Amino acid sequence: MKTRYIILTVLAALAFSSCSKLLDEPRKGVIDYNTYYKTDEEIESAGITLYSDVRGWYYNVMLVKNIISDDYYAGGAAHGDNVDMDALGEFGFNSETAQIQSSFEGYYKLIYHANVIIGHIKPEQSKAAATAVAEAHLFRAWAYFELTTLWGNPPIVDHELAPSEYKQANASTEDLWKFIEDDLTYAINSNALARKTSLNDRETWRVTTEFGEALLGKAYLWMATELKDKSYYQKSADMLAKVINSNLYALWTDGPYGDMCHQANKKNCENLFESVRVNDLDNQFDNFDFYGAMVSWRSSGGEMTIPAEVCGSGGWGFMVPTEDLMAAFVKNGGKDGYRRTQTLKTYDELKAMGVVWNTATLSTGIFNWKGRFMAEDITYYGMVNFKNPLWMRYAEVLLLAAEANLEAGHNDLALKYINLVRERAQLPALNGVTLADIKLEKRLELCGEGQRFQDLLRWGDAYDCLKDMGKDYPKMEPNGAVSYVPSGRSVYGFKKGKHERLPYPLTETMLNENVKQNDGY
Amino acid sequence: MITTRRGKGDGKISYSYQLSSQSLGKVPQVMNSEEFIQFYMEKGNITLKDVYSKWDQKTNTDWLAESYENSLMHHHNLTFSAGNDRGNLYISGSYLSNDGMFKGKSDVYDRITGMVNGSWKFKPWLEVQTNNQIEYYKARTVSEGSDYGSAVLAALQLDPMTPAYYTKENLPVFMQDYLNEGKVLLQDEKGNYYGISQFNISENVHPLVQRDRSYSISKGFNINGATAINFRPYKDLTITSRLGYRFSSNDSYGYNHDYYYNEGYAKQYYMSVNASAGNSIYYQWENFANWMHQFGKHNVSAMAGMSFSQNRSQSANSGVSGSDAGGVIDFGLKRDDPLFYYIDQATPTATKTAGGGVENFSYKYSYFARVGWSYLNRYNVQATFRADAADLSVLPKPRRWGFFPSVSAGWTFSEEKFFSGIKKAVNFAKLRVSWGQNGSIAGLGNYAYANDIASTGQYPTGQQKADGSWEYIIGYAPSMAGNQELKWETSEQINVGLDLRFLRDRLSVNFDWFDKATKDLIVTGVTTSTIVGVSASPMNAGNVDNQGIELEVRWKDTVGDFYYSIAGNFSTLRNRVTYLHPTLKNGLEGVGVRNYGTVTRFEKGYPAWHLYGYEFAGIESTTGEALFNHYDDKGVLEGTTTAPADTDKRHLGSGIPTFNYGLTFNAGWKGIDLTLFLTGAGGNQILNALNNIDYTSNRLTYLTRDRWTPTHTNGTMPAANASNYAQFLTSSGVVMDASYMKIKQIQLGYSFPKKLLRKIFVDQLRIYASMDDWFTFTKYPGFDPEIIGQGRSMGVDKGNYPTSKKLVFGVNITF
Repeated sequence: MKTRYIILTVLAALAFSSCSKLLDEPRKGVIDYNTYYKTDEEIESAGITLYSDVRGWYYNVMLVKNIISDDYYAGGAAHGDNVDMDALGEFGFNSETAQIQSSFEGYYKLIYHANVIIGHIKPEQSKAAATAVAEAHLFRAWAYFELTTLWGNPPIVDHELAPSEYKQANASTEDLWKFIEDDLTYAINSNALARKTSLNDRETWRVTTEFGEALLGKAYLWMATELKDKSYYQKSADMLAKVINSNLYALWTDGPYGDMCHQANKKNCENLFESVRVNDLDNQFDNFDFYGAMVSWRSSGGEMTIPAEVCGSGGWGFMVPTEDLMAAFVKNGGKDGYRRTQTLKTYDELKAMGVVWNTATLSTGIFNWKGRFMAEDITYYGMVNFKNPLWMRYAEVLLLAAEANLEAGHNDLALKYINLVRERAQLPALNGVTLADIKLEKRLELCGEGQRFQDLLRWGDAYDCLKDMGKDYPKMEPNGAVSYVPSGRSVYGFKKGKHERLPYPLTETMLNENVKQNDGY
Repeated sequence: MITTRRGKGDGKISYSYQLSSQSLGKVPQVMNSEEFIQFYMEKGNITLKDVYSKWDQKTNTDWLAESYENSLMHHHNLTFSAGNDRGNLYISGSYLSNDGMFKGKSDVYDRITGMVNGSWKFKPWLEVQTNNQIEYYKARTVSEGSDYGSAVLAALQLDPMTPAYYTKENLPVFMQDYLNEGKVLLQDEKGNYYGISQFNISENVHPLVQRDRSYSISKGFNINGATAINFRPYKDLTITSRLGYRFSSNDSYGYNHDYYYNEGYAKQYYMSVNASAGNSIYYQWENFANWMHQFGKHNVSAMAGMSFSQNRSQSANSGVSGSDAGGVIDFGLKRDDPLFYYIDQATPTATKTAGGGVENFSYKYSYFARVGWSYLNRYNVQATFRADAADLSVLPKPRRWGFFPSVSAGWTFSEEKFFSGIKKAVNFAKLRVSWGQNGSIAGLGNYAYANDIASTGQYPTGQQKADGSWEYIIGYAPSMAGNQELKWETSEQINVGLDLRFLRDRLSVNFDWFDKATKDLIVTGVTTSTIVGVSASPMNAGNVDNQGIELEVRWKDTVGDFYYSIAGNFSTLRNRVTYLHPTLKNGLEGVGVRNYGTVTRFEKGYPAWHLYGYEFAGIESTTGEALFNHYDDKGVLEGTTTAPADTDKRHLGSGIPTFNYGLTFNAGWKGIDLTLFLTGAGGNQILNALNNIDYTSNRLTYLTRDRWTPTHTNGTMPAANASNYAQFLTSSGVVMDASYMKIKQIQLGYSFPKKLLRKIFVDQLRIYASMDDWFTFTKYPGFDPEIIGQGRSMGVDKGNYPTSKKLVFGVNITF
């Protein structure tokens, strides 16, 4: 009988022995999220995702913002080559237009990565940690600036969402601008952002305090309009003055104006922030990006023969300059003005350089010169390019400051800043400045750099400038004769009450009914 | 409960053998040469000139007949058993050899199994039981079930004008040219070359080329079983400690030949060889106590216990491959000789891959308890409770535990006094009610809920290092959103049943009504709102409800030497998605047909993964284009269109049968026995995805025989050159009734008289012949409608391995 009780006791002990610790089997081959972001190297690796994300924005964002303006036709091999691009240029876009959807997704992807950093890294941990958190605030604010100025009232996502929180609703205009202001203020005051060591520092590749100040100065200019509060003009002027007075940036004059964006002139004294690409043949697909092929002159089908020293060949011919843009240049500096000839080239000018046209193309006989991709900037059928995507340069800061000062009543400063830009453009100095002067100067100086559409919306000029976009498109014969062909759209051009906002992607409104689609879509 | 085989009596030996001859069951019908040429000339893919130069005017290959053959399956089984009141012993061995219907030894399953079960009462209070099975298998299979080409689909889609073989002497010029260029064309065992299609140039190449261009085999063994000690310290209490175990080992080996079939889709100028080996060790340890006590007319019982299981697995794989990069051919192996088709024989320049070597563990931990009470076999009530914990690879730690109660009650009202009057007619009547919950982790594992850190690529700083190389920083970020809210999927079932037996058990009726609601269904591959900014992890995405009835009626009787029984069953099922996580407003997308569009969807208000697509509305008589219903913005039917939009897609059916039925008939007379068994299902649909429009591929005659042509403008199927054929192939035009009835078995047996057998020391001897899966009645024009699609692919026929019909002979003998 005794044996029985011993067995019983042993069995009872076994039955209640707990094995639950074994359930905590750790995962192999991956880095645990909860313990990551400890060392500076790990923190750096989190921060760098934001730089990759921004570089990834360029293709969609630049094409959308340029083609939707009055400066460019969509272009391509022929009308209908890229239906979505045509739709952008002709105001026929909708919630399923791919580039709008991809731009929107690109901004929220960065916001997620920024939230990961802000949620998991304590700035007091180390210098690198403070930098990563400050940069995350700066980049997140930048994404929200773009989202707010283009879509209006996107949802604010300020932390990593749990599945029960996936359906965030539209945020109010006030909250969005407050969010942008707070994020940028945090970044600027963190004392953790990089700063150029001198005017000619061409090493600094990170976002700087001055870039943060320039973004905030720019945001204040929008807030003055969007929040209907003129006091923001002074705030904008003050913030931009910090950038100007830092003396770390200046207009670039080391070569012809039209070459300022070339590979050789990366990180020049004028550039506030650019994404980095390197000509590394061992890793060339890191630079996989169709932008170079898209915007280069249409020659991939043998339409043009281009001498190598003039420009790269094989382009797909999107972003065709309008005659209206050319006319604006002629109005401000004459037909053969320096900045005009360094920004756009005409049929005759290119012909003189040895360019030959073989077939008719979708062209106005006007070709982008500033920002062109040279043969050495581009490889692998145009799908890889080595130019640094440029996001903001000092000329923009000066023109923003000119506008802010003019509106704040400081006409002398406004005049000083616009004349700096005009001087480099080899234009005579103005004696007095009006808002119209600044609008024209900004259009010409920054054309093709993705600023025009948001400016037109802010100035309230969008309808007047864009109402006829999409009526027709140009066709140029090999002899240079240009005619216009109707687009075939019964409805085209900017519509009041609708096109002040881009549509939220269908994927968003389908999955999240708390996001209200913008009017008219 | 699994009942294990146990020995009885003082020693028995029995042997059985079964021989099955298998042949192709139900197959679809495709166009013959003449129809094919006519169809594709209308479509404009081929010209009369093509036909004259590439066809000998008579070949009409039946690719199914060229791919499949009748084949045999053998099954031997030998058993020794014995037992008495203290214990028993059961030893058996069996051998199964199945050469599938695909020609040659390309689909083979061979298995040897041994079993040793035993138990012994060492003391009145101590019993030991052990059950063990050892199995060794080897298997080869052919490709199936893909709309992007498989050996099964190729037999339907290849053109009938291409011959299956050419002799060396009769090779067409283009194939001779290939040989002259040094290309390797595959040959059969007689040296004939497999015909190369000049019409259908696609990934669906000659089925036997698909068989012969590669070789793969997997082999392995499993040892599994359980050993238990039952300990009875008192009369009412039994304590059991049981260890279950499974040791598995498997390895695979395969190679791909150099060969040439066509330029775009099927060629390789080098060889590749791969091999893998893996093993897993699983054990489950359960300890539980069972207490039963009787007092008066009451019986009470209680049980409580725990269980813990662990599975450890590890595998490693390796491969070598040659290359033709830059036009330079590296064969990959030192010699083109089967004796050199091994990884060890790789050329120094061959690409070598290796993987695995990770020791993976999974665990499960449970507590369970049960209490019961019964009174006079008249009333019984039972309640159970389980608590299950999943390990960290399955669920996040705070959500690890799932708790699943259940209760049931029964009332045998035929035992009541008021029933005694009719007890002669109704000898048993019982009412059952139960409610319970069950948990599932739906195949989760591998930390799918976690947000692990993965590389997002590298970013250059623009600085060059001392050696001239560029400096990069590698980015890391979570690759998934993670879902720390993920929890057990729970099924809650209510069941009401009635069991009736009449006329001394000769007639029995069982009826059940059930409602099974699955809550918090775990779904992977979810698309969420863009603003989340990262891919979603698995979610508890929805609720699914299954409701139905089950009815079983059985009649058995004996009349002199004649006995017979008839049993019929009928069940219904209503499957509905009742709730979907708000994040997934418009449902989850399922599988697509090639790149023509998605055809299944998980959506509130419809059966799980129902079929959806365009509504085919006939043929435009002027053009032969397919017409589809078109809806306006408000969802109101506006008319028909030849160019439907995504918003025109509608519910088209479901792959889940709404009813199933079966009928079994048994009869015997003086040693002769007959069994008839039939089964059927209905109320479901199949979307036929056996056709494609991307190549000059053969199609089912279902689609082609009554097509629109300029001279047959009232055809019911689209013209050969209809520009919206791709939309048609994802529309209700290819959704078909999948109802079927099958006679699963007709078996006739004879047992020799015992008197006769005793003289040769044989206890029992039975021989039988059977026709299995022989007759199928259905209107569905594809393969067997019974075996099509699971989960997301439910009801989508992409060409699974065809079912066989079998002629079976067998013998059972017991000494």
